[in-house]
Amino acid sequence: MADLGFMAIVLGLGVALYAAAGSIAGKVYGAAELVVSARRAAYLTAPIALAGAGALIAAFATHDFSIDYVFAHSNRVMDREFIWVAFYAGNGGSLLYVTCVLAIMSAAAIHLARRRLADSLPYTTAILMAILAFFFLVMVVWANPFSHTTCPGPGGSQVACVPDDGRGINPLLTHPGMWVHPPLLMAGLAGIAVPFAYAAGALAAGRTRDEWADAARVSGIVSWAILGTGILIGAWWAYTILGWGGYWGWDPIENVALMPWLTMTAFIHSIMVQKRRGMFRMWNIVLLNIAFVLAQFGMFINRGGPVVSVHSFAGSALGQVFLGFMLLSLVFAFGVFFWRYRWLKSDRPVESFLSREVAFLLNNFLLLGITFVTLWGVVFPLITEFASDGTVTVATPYFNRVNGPLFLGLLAIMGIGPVMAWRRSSMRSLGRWLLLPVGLAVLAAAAMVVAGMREPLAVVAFSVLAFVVLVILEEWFRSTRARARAGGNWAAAWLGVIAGNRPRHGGYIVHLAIVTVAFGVVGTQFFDQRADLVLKRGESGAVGSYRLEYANLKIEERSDRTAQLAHLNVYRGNDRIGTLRAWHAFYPDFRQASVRAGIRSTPVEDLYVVPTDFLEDGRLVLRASVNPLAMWLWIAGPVFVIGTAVALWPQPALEVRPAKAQVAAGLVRGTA
Amino acid sequence: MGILVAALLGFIVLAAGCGRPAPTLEQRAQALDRQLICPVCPGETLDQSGVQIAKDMRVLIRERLAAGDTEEAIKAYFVDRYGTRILAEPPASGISLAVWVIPPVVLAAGAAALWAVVREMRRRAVAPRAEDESLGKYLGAVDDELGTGKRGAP
Repeated sequence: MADLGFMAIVLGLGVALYAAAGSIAGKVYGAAELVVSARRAAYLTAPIALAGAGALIAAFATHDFSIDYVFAHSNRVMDREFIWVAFYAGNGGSLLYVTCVLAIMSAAAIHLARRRLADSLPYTTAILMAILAFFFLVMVVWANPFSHTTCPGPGGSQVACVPDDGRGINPLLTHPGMWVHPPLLMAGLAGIAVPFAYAAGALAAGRTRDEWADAARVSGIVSWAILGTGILIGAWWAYTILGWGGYWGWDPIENVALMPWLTMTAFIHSIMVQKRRGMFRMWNIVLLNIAFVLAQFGMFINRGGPVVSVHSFAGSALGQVFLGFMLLSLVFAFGVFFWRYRWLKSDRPVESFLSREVAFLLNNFLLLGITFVTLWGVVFPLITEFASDGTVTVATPYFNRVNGPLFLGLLAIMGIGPVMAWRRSSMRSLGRWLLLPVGLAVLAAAAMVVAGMREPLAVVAFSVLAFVVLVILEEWFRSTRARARAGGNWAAAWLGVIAGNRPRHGGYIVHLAIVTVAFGVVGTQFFDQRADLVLKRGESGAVGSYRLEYANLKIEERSDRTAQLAHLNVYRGNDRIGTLRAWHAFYPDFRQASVRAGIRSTPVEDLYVVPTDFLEDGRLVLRASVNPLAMWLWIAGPVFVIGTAVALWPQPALEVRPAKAQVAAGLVRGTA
Repeated sequence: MGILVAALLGFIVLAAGCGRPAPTLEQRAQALDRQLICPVCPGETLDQSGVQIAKDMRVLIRERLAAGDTEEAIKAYFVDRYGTRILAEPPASGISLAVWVIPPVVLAAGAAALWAVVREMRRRAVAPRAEDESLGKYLGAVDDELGTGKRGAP
C-alpha cells in the first residue's frame, strides 16, 4: 500500500508539472494539440490524487502500522467510522486531502470553462496545476504520508518496523463535527485558487474585460459557501466539545480561516457590480489576490507557523516551505495585476453617493477593515516577539472591542444596501422604503428598554438586526403582493419572486442566515451567565434561573479511556424540567481529557453543563452556564446553505422571440 | 429624518444605560475572568479555560473582590506575577499602544481614500462630455416635460 500511495503522489507531481508547462508552451507556441494534451493531463491529476488517498484509507482500514502516519493516527480499538477523520488528522494526510480536493476542483473548473474561456484557459490551467504541483511536491519531499514506521534499532539507529498497535486518534477529533468541519474548511481554502486562477489566467491572456467574471463569481461563491459552512460547523464542534460554552475564540487558526472568508464575501458582492455595470474591474482582481494570499497565509500559520494554537499541527520545517509559497503567491498575484492594470478601466464612473455601487463599496470597506484588524491582531504579537521580550497577548476582548462596531456597521449596510438603486437613488424613494423598517426597528428598541433590557449595545444590535430583516420582508411583501394580484396564491407568488432574480433573493436568504448568527452572537455575548459548581451526590446548585441536582454517575472503562457520565436533574423553581447527561473521559495515552457538554437547548436559551473534575471524595466539579439564543447560531446553517443554493441555481436563459412573431400573435398591443 | 432617528435611538440607548443596576460581585468577577488570560493555555481567557490554574485564579478573583479590592488592583496583582501577557487586551501604552492606534488610523485613511475616489468619479460623471453637449438641449426639454428639474442634480 505504502509504495502504491507514494508512486501516486510522485506521478501526480509529474503530471501536474507537465500540465502546467504544456499549457503555457502550447499557448505561447500555438501548438493546439499540446494545449489539449495538457488539459487532459490536468484532468488526470484528480484520479491520481484519489488513488493516493485510497491507498492511505486502505492502509488505515487494514491497520497497516508499517506506515508511520497510520501508526501515529489510529489504533485497533478506534471506531471504524473515524478512519475518515484519522485520514486528515495529521500533516501528510491533510495535505493529501487538500491535494485531492484541489485536483477535483481544478478538473471541474477547467472542464466547465473549456468553451467559454477557451482563450485564457491554458493560463488558468497552468496556474491551478502549478499550485497542485506544489502540494504534491511538499508531500514527496517534506511530508510523505506513506513513510515507513521506524523503531530504535541496535546502536541507536532507526530501523523499519511494524508495531502491533498504533497510537490512536486524538480524542478531541472523535466527534461527528470532525467528519465535516476540517474537510469543508480545507476545501474552502483550497477552492479560492479556482476563481483566482480564472481571473489571473484571463489577465495573463490579455482578456481584461468581464469574460472571467461569471466563472469567478460562481466558483467564488462555491468555495466561500464551503468555507463558511466549515467555519460554522467548527463553531458547533467547539461549543459541544471544548467545554467553555463558547464557539469562537479569535484563535489565530480561526482567524486565518475567517479572513479569506471575509475577503471572499467582499468579492462576491463587488463582482455583481462588474457583472451588472462593468465597474470595479481592478478592485475585484485585488480582492481575489488578497483572498488567495490570505488562504496561503492560513496554510502557513496552520502548518508549523509561528503561532501557538490548539489547532496547529505539530511544528515542523514545513512552516518555511509554506511561507515561501505564500510570498511567491503574493508576488505572482500582484505581478500579473500590475502588468495588466492599465487595461482594467471601468466602463462607467460612480454617479452618486446614494447608489448601490457605493453601498457595495462600503460593504467591501468594512469587510476588509475587519480583515485588517484581525490580521493585525494575529501578526502583532509576532512582531513584538521579535522587537521586545514578547509579552503581549491579543485575545478575544480586543477583537470584540475593535471588530464589534465594524460588524454592527456591516449589518446596518446590509439593511440599507438592498433599497439602494443602481446608479443613483433619490432621497424620496429611499425614505419611502426605509420609513417602515426604521420606524419599527426604533419601536423595537424602545420595547426592549421598556421590557427591562439594560445593555445599550445589545439594544442597538438587536434593533439593527430587526431593521435588516424588516427591509427584506418589506421588499418580499411588496413584490409578492404585486405578483399575487396578477393571479395566483401568495406562496406561489413568493416563489416566483425568488425565482425571478436568484442572485438577489438567494443573497437575501443568506443575509437572513447572517442575521440569525448575529442574533445568537449578541444573545450569548451580552447575556450569558456562568457558575462554577461543586456538588455531592444529591446536592444541587443554581445557575441563572435553573437549579442543577447531581443525581448519579456512571463509569465506563475502555481500553483507551475511562469515561464518566454524570446525570443531572434540572429544576426551574420546584418543577423538574428535565435531565442532562454530561460526559467526561480521560485518555491516558494522550494524557488528555475530552468532554461532551450536557446541553438543554431551547430557542430562548441553552442550559450548558460541563464536568471538569471528579474529586476523590466523590464530589463533582461542574462549569455551568446559561447561553441565551445559542440555538440560533446553528439554525443559521441550513438557511445559509439554502440561500447559497438559490443564489447559484442557474437562471433559465431568457426566451428570445422575434418581435414580428409577437406582433403577429397579437402579444404587443397598439401595433396590430 | 436620519437625524431624528439617530436622536431617538440615542435617547432610547441612554435610557437603557441609565437604568442599569450596579453589578453584583459575581458579575464583576465574571467581567474580570474575561479580561485575564489563563497562563498555561495560550489565547484562552479564564472564563474559557477548564484547567486547574484557571479555576484557582477564578476563586482568587472572587476572594479578593469580596475582600474589597478593586478590579484594577486585582489586575495589577496578576500582571505583577505573570507579566503583561496575562492581560487579554494589551495595555494602551509602550509598544502595545500600536495595537490600538494602527487599526483606527488605517480605517480612517481607507475611508478618506474611498470618499475621495467616489467623489472624483462622481465629478467626472456629472461633468458634461463633448458628445453630451449636443444632446443637452434635447435632454433639457425632456426634463422640462417630465418636471424633474435640472439634470445632474443629485
